[in-house]
This record gives sequence, C-alpha cells and structure tokens, in this order.
Amino acid sequence: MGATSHPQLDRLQEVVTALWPDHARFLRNSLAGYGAEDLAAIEDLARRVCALAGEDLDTFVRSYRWLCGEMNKEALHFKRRGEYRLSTFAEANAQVYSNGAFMRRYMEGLLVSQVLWRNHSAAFLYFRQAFLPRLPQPFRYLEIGPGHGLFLSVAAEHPACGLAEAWDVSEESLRQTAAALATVGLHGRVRLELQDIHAPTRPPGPAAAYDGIAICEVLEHLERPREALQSLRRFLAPGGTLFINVPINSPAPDHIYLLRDEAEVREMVTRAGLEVVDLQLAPMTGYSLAEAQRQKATVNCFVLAR
Amino acid sequence: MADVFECDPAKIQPDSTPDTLEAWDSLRLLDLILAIEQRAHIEISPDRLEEMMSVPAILRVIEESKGS
Repeated sequence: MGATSHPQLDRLQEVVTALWPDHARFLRNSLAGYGAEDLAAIEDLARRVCALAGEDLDTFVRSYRWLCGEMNKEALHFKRRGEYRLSTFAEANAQVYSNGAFMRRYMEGLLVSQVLWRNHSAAFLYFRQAFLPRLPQPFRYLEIGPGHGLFLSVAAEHPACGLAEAWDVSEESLRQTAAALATVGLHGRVRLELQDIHAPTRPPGPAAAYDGIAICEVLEHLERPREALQSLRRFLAPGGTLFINVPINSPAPDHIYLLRDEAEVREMVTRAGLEVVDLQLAPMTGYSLAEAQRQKATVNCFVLAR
Repeated sequence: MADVFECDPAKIQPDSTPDTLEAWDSLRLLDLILAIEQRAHIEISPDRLEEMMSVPAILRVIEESKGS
C-alpha cells in the first residue's frame, strides 16, 4: 500500500497488524494490483470507515478478527454440508439479530471488512465507477438495507444527487444508519424509512420512482430474494438502473439464501422481470476467479439491471 | 497436506505456517480439515480452527480430536 498518500489505509493496516500480525499477508493480497485511481477511492472508503469507528478503531479491529473466526466456522459447515447453516429468517433472527452483543461485534467487524476484503472493496469501486456514472443528472437514489451508510453517503454527496432515500425493515438498523450519516456530516440529508420491500407501504408512482436503486448484500439474507427484486422493479423510474451486489457461496452467520454460481444470479434477476445490463464477478481475497469457482470460495456478483 | 494445498511436498516443513507456505489460507485449511476428518474418522470442532496455524498445532488438534 502507499505511504503518506493513503494515510487512512496505512492507519488501518497498522492497527490490524499490531493486533493481528498473522493477517499481514492477507492485507497485502487484498489490495494487491489496485492502480492509483482505485487506491484513491479505497482511501476514501478507509476514511469513511475510520470516521465511523472514531476513537474505537482498536475495538472495531478486534471485532473484525472475531468476525473472521466466525466466518471460518460457517465456512467449515459449508464445506462439510454444501449448504448454509441457516435457511430461515426466524433462525437468523433468533441467533443473530436478537443477540445484541453478537450484532455489535458483527457490525463492527463487517465495517472493517469493507476495506480489507477484496470482494468488498471491489463492490465500492463498482458502485462508484460503474453504477453512479450511469445515472442521469440530477438523479433520485434509493438504497435498500443501507447498513453503515457507506454507499448511501457516497450517493448522497454526489453533486448530481437530487434525492437520496434508504429503506430498511429494522428500526434499529435505521437508527444506526442515521448515526453513521450524522458522523459524516449528512444528518437530515437522507430520508430513512421503515419499509419491507416485499410489502412497501408506499405505492410506486412519481413520488416513489428512482433513477438508481441499490441493494447490496441484502438478498442473501432473504427467504424470497426474487420476489424482493420483483417488488423493487416497480420503483425504478423510466430508464432507471438497479445495482445488485450479492455474494455467491458465501457462508456467514446470517446468510440464509444460497446462490451457487453466476447462472443462478442471472436467473434470479431475469425471473424478477429485469434485464441484466452488466454483470461482474469479484472473488474473495487471495483467489483468482477461476480458483474461487473451483474451490467454491466466495465471489461477489455485481449486476446492473433495468 | 501437499495434496490439499496443491504444492510440492518438500515445501511442507515441520515449522511451516501460513506465512511460509503461500497456498496455506483459511479456506484451504478447511479443505485440509475435511481430508483429515475423512481419513482419521474424526470430527474437529470449529472452535479449534484458530489454533491450527502451524504443523505441530494441527497435529496436536488431530490427536486431541481422536480422544474426544
């Protein structure tokens, strides 16, 4: 990684390797091969992540290390059984979402992973470099499941963003998103709504038509992801673009819907009545795409659809 | 171990670790665990994954798993 030209990346690397020296090679592999433009964008991502972690970056990094251990346990189950450990929202709610202590560490760890995992940093780059440039100027933007608000904040700060909204089924998640947005100076700039995308209370129409809709790492948490996409399609404005980020072969504590390859992702999208405009694959750190497919390692699938 | 990591057996030494063996990562370690479990007819607890960061540690976990 660069030196003074990427101070937040450097800082994050220093904290991680101080707390977890064995992870140094993973970090090198994660950012290997990125050019100057991409690294500048990832430095921006690291800046946002470090801002959200604030004074507690050490704690977040410890949670990240714990998360890696939990992911390995899920991966072992996946290797043994060929399926995710959980298959229903009720199970995920009981074991993960209702467990406050688990959720805190999980969300802290996932935040750090946005920079440190190759498939996650690749998603951020695709969002900035492939999705946002497709949107008209000005654009109306909707994000489903905004989480830490990393993508949402980039969209909301875009000079061509006329409206930014986000929906989530969890009040607590929306509260955390609001806090995150306030941390990066976007308090009150984004409309946050409690909505279930399977049954939104707002009908599609001129007041609910978006030029860009993003749904990132949400579908694998749903029992009926195709139906969710069918519902979302109605909220696309004419000429609008849907950005889907969904992982293939990605065992995790709360993943319930398994997509095994690119073909299954394409089928899900087209059966939802959408046309795939672009599809890119980003394997996990340390794997080429061919190796990841052979080893059934995690590959994130980025889809632009209309 | 060489079969799972797809490397020259000569590269695997008693002091090998993920730092010294490029092919050794967390996912390939899981493949190694599955191979060991099948051959030794044991089941290794997921809680022991973090310990298995050296050849001696792997051997120790295998032996202790036989007894459990």
